[in-house]
Amino acid sequence: MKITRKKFLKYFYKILLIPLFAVAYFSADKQKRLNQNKKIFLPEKIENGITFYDELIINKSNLGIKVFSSRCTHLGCKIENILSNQLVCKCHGSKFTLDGKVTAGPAIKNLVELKIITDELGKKFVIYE
Amino acid sequence: MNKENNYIKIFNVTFGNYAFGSILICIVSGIFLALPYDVSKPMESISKMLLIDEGARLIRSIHYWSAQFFLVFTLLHFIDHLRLYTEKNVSKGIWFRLTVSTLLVVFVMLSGFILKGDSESFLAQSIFKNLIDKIPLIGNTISFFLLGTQDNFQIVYVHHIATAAIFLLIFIIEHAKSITPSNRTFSILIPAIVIISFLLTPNLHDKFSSIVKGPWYLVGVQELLHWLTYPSIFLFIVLIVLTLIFMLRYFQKKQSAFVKKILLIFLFLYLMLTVIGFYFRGENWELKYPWQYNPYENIFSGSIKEFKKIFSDTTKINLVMGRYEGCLSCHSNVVGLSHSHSSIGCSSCHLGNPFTLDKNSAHSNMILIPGNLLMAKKTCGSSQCHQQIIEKVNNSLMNTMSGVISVDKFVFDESNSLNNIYKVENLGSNPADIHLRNLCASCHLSNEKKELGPINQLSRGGGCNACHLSYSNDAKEYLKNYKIARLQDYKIARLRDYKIARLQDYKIARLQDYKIEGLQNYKIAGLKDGGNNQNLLKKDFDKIEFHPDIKLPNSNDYCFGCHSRSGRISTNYEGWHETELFSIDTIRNKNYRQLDDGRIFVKKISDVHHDKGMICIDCHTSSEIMGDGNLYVHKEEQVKIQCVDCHLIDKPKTKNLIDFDYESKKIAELRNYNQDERKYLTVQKTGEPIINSFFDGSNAYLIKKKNNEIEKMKKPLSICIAGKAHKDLSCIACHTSWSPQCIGCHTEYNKNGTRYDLLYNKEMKGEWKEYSKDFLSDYPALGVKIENEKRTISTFIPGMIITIDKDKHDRKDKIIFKRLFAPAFSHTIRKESRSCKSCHNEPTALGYGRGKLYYQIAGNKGIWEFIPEYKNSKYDGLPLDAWIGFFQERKNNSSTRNNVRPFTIDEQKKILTVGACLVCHNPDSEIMKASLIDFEKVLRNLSKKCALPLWN
Repeated sequence: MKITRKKFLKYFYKILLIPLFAVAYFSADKQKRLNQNKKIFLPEKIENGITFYDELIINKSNLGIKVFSSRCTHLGCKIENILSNQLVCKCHGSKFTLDGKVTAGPAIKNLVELKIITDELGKKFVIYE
Repeated sequence: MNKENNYIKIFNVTFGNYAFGSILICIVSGIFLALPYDVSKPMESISKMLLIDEGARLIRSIHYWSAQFFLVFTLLHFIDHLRLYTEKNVSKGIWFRLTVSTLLVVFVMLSGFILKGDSESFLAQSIFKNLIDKIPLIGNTISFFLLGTQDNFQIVYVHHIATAAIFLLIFIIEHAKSITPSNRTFSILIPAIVIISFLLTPNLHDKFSSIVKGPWYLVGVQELLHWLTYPSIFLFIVLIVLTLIFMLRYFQKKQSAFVKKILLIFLFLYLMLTVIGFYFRGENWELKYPWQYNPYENIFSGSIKEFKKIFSDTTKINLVMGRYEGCLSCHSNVVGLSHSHSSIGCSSCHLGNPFTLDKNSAHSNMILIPGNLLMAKKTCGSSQCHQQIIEKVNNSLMNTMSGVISVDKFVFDESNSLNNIYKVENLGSNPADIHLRNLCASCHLSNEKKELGPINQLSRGGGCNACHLSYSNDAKEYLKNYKIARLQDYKIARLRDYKIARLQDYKIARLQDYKIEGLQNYKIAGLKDGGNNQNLLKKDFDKIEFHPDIKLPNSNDYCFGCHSRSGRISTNYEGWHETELFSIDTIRNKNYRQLDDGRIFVKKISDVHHDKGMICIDCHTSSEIMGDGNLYVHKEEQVKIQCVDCHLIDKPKTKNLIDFDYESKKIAELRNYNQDERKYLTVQKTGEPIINSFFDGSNAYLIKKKNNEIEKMKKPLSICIAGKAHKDLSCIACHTSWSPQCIGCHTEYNKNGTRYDLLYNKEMKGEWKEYSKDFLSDYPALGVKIENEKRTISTFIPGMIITIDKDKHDRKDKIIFKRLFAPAFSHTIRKESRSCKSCHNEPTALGYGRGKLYYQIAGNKGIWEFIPEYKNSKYDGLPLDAWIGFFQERKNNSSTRNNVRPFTIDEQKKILTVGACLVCHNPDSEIMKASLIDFEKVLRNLSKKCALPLWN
């Protein structure tokens, strides 16, 4: 098959797009990672019971404090509702206990519990992905 | 073959041309929209457009509607072409790009929805991002590339206005082979889009509603995702559909027809899902019928009107809860709300449409009296405010009336159990249900408050208003004038009808005067005038409003209306006993009092806590009143506070402020009782803090909520806790000074009568009537309550000594007779206790009823005799007011509770043995004091003179 100059350039320019896409992809990936792992400091005073704070659901009881991501494990909707002592997702109706355990679908995974870290000044924070 | 002529056309324009024209109008309007839209404050800038920039509002509306037109016509265009098998007419490259552009269309539409920046948008962005994340390997990066971070719309904005829009336009032009559709297309589309844009402005969704839906074209996806535990399946479905569409270009006609039928079925199923999602999904995506809520609520904000007014009055638009609220442009002079509720604007409570300055549109779907439980989930109990409390209140006994219903059904022989849980809203048409609907069913919180004004003795229900609505004197005066003005308006309308122009002219002249004198000052003066200026018009009041406050209660007035009935604890507490009097003359005597409902009460001894200035909520905590979320059958289950929680016997368990639950802490803060170092008493049964109390290490103190005075709380006397003789006695057994007691009640049903249905607030066929015999006030009877296997002697009154005739016209029907005593905390506590004899020598205390109980002594033995005052009932042979017969027992069906009973014969003997001693011995004598410590020991050392009872 004879490759004309016109045809060659046509394919050449298309091939050039591949490294461009690759650069864009890696750049986006890097930016994404830079934006991940948001550090969220917990409020100094936390009430007993459930507190919705920033992207977190904080459950304080006599047994201690548990911090969950407020994002539903089904499709990431922010949970900011309690009904009949259950955390309820407005978008698709998933329900979780106040301890983050899933009780009704469509979600099947429990809420993501975040580890509480204390910095050198004694302030508590979590890493929110 | 040229198939141009076979395309479906409307006004001689194809769907494709309509779609092309729509996207061009959308793009042009989008360019103009870029100026007022602020990507860093999307919701704020759009609410500003809706309220104060009418031009931008119209452009946004055009942008929205042209996009919807584009979507619909694109779909129709696509179907039309598939119908004609034109997919083979375009090149493979174009067909591929057209297939891909399906995704572009969805993206450009969805990104527009996300850019609203309201609560729905954030959730749509989350769902979209998470869906893309599910694409293996590259999903995360692609979602970041398309949507950026969740708190920043810049990337979405760039792709919406540039990337997606440009590529889409290129693909459209490429396959349309034209850069514009025909002039005819625009001449139809432009007027159509402008008119609909003018009439229906897309609204914003605030955070108050728990109904969250995506754009209408993706509600089907939302519904599908609800059913998919693994959302990746959805991506797979999308891939299959796209692949099928792409492959249509390569299929034979027969295969192609088959695939198109499949696609059509897909489309039909999707439409079904959309209808379900749009019309049958309510709060938290729970199934609901469309007539149970408004599926169109808050989607559109009505037509664009009153340009002149809007352009000339924009200075009063304020930012409330992250949005600009139009209500305040007219209602900025609202005063009266305390701090906690003064900063949440109007629509948080009253709903309506805050994003418009058009009065009718703003007031559409508005609630004049928020707080009624029926709507409380959208108002007081929205997810941004008191959601958890509303949940609890719904289950509270004050809302369910479970105990009342349970006992009534038992008495009517409609239930064998006294422990079933009921809800008043579920009352049906059984005799017991109708009985309650006729006589009792108004005293529950979900009874709707429909009239403006403060809570008074005649108020029933009202949801949150029942306890938290507070009218200042100014608010009462304003309401009075408002009502006068409404009446005046009505009169004017009437006069206008009759064309009496002179009065109308006069009023117009008055209005002119208002303007000259300064509208505001004049109106304030008018209100301070005590509302005497009856010529004020309703519209004059629109700009000055004394709003009732919503706050924590600080009086018993809220409780009085309902609790002056049944057990009558409110009137008991204040020392009033209901009489059968009806003469109005008697109330001139200060010993009598007439309530607003006409009942006349006579003065009795009041409760010592009332004398000390305490109100109901000084003892009863928020979780007792509003419920703790649990469903209870009877009130003593929901009430957890006990006398010993404050009148300390032992060192109490205390709590510090930091350990409070959220609600208790909030109330403590609002009442200014929050002190970090303070040790608060707790309710022993639950551990809940008593926020208006504290313990200083040796004494307990109470802060009275009415006036914030501090009262040192007394400890029980040693006689109350010493020895074993009275160890089972409750505090109220000795300290209740009297109880109202109604005996000989007859209730009958007249099927031909009519009566008001207290549940549904309307007249109903059939009538239950109640006739009482005697209304007495006396010491209550004593009996036994078993709780957690512990025996307690407590107080009881005749709960139901009743005959029931289910059909008064039918002489053959069986009359139901019940003799049930009810546990009663009468709220007539006195510091001084009842005497020893009032328990040990009185027949009422033992449950025999009124009469003469005497001790016949013969030698060194005695015999107890009893002559009842009331005749024996023909139904059970007992005196009418008795709980038990003299030296008899009743084991079953004797009470309105399963865990209580009258005294057994052995217990009666023990009580009357002491009674026999008291015939001769002074209660204050050493021997009687010794008997309190160890009665058995006293009995072992009897003198020869002692005459113990001889039992038959």
